[in-house]
Amino acid sequence: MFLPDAMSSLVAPFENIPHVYDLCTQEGNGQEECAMMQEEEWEVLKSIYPDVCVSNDAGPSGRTIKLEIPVELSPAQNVTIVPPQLNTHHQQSASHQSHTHVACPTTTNPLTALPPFLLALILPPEYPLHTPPRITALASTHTWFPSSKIRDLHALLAGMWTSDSQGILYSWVEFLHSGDVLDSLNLSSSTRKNQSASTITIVNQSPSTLLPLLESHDARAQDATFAETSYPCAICLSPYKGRHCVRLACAHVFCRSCLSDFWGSCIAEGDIGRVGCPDPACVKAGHEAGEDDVVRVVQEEEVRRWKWLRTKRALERDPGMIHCPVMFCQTPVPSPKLSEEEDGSGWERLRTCPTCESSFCALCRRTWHGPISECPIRVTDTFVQEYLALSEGDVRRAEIERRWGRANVRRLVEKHEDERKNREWMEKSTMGCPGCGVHVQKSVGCNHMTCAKCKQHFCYRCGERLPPTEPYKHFNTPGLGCFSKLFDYAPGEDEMEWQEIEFGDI
Amino acid sequence: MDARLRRVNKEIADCKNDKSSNIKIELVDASPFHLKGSFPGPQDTPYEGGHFEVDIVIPDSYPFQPVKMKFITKVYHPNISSASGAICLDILKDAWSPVLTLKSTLISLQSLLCSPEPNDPQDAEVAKHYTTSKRSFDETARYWTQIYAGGPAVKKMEVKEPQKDEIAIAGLEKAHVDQFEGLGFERSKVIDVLRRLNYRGANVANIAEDRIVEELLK
Repeated sequence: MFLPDAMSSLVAPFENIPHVYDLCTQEGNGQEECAMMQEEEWEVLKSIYPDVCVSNDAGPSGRTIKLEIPVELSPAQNVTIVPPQLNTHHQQSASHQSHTHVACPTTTNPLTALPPFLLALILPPEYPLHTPPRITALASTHTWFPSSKIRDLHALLAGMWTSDSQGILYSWVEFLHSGDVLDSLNLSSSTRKNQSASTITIVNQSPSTLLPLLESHDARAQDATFAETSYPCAICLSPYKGRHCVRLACAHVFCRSCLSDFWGSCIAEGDIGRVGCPDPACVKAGHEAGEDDVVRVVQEEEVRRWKWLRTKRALERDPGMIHCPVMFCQTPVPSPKLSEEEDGSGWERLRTCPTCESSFCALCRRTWHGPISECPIRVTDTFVQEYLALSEGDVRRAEIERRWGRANVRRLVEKHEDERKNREWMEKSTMGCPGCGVHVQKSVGCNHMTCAKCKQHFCYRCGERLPPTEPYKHFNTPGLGCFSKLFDYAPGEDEMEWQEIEFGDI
Repeated sequence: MDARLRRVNKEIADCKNDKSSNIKIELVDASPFHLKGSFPGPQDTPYEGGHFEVDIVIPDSYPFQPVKMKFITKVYHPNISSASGAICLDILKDAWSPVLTLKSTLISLQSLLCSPEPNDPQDAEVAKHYTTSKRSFDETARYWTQIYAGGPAVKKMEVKEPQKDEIAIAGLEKAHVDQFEGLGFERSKVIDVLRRLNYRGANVANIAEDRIVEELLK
């Protein structure tokens, strides 16, 4: 429908050329002025679109200019690539619209950029006063722009030139760069500026080849834009260019070094619940970073530790998990899934470490001693207790020492003592979380605890589970054992401070 | 210059340049990691007119670990310890994020004064007072603001007593204290016991006099 018009405009300016040449020869010199104007136009263009201007060489028939003009799509648009045979049908159908789209399988993700047009042209000595530039080559990278439309594009560009223009290059670049070209050639399915859901349709021999090329170009273009944009890092409060920053899955941007320090310190402390976006909203929502983000931000060694901690955390949620007793291994071994008849048979005590393949008893954590024999630790325990019950210098003590070896007995006694002290200390100075059993020692603050591991709320005084919605009820209900015991002040501590200030100030 | 120092310097400068927020941060000694923040009490609260000072200690791993803050000025508030000034606020603990700054944290403290959370108390006694009788609580909080934070004089108590009124500080009624003092107990002990038992407002009816005497005899 637009073809006849376009054809005529394509022909018209070129027909005029001899006439213009005549004008020039008549006037003799406008050439100097033209040369100055060309120089100026090039400088202006270079300052506005530095990346577009590739080269500018003086030649016998005028300046040869090469431009590389990327196409920006704003907002992002999907591109549908149609094979030619479908498109023939498409063009013939008078309605020009989309039932052929349904048949076409290849549509890109929304793109913000298309590969550049390559435009080579010669500025004759009489340009811009009398002659239009002569286009010597016009193509698109990856030939995404349909070859059947190149002629129309030539015509459109030629039609934009008028003899009184101060220079046409900027208008051409803008026309291609802004994507207006797609509207003018009816490649866009609706008015782009008004409708966000519009689609660009282009014809290509091989949609499946072009699609990845367009998408990867878009990704590169977006990376380049990101790298050049400045972002204020909310952690160090300094602005950084995007290439020094990381954009997380939640779209928040931080400078790489801050984020790496932050996550690195969390990983070092084993606090992997905090390895996530530091934005307060993301922190409140408890979003943790995914593996993609973590790998991008921290060192390989830290990634390894982070993964290990994550696996460990997952395993520790299993209350039956036991660490492999082999000193250098310590791999968490999950509890086995048992069939009913196995339960209670003694086999439920068997664990096999997935890393070092040692088999051990879940109860005594020693080498597997079969489902029937009693755990040997109990034997050692009673034997050490017997030994300790005897007074020093007792003959029976010497007997035991002779029998088992003095050094062996000493070692066992030492271990027994250590374990006893450990147990005593744990009982005296810590409280076990009723959710996961981990022991917690309170350094400061109130008796309402939230387990860092399993998020269970509990009372540090009595170990009771507290409802997360109203944990303080436990301390505020008269009659309960912990009523008004939210704080354990050392006796008199609170009162002392009270009185001190009272009297001190009067 | 390490990242922590750079950030703290920036934060202090930023606070100095911002005249609109009323938040002040100043050095306490030569160290940039021990600071004093201050802000005016929020309007339409018992803290209005007061000037509140906060002790700020910046830990080595700041901003990855939360800043340590406590009130220097004594505050009568359910989430602030009346004895030590310790603060119960989630962002100073597990909800901390390195994106939060000294200024934004001080603003959070200021808004904590606007909206007490008696179900998450740092000071259980004050929280009890708050839930028993909001009006009596407000009076006490206003009195504390006046005597500790330089707030405007409370009308009811006037300025006829130049020295601090212990009874008002504890949020109690003079008549109640006089009653038990009349039985021969030391005044400061009476105040202490009545305060601990929350002998205020409607709660007075719930506490038998015997119970108080029992406590006084302990």
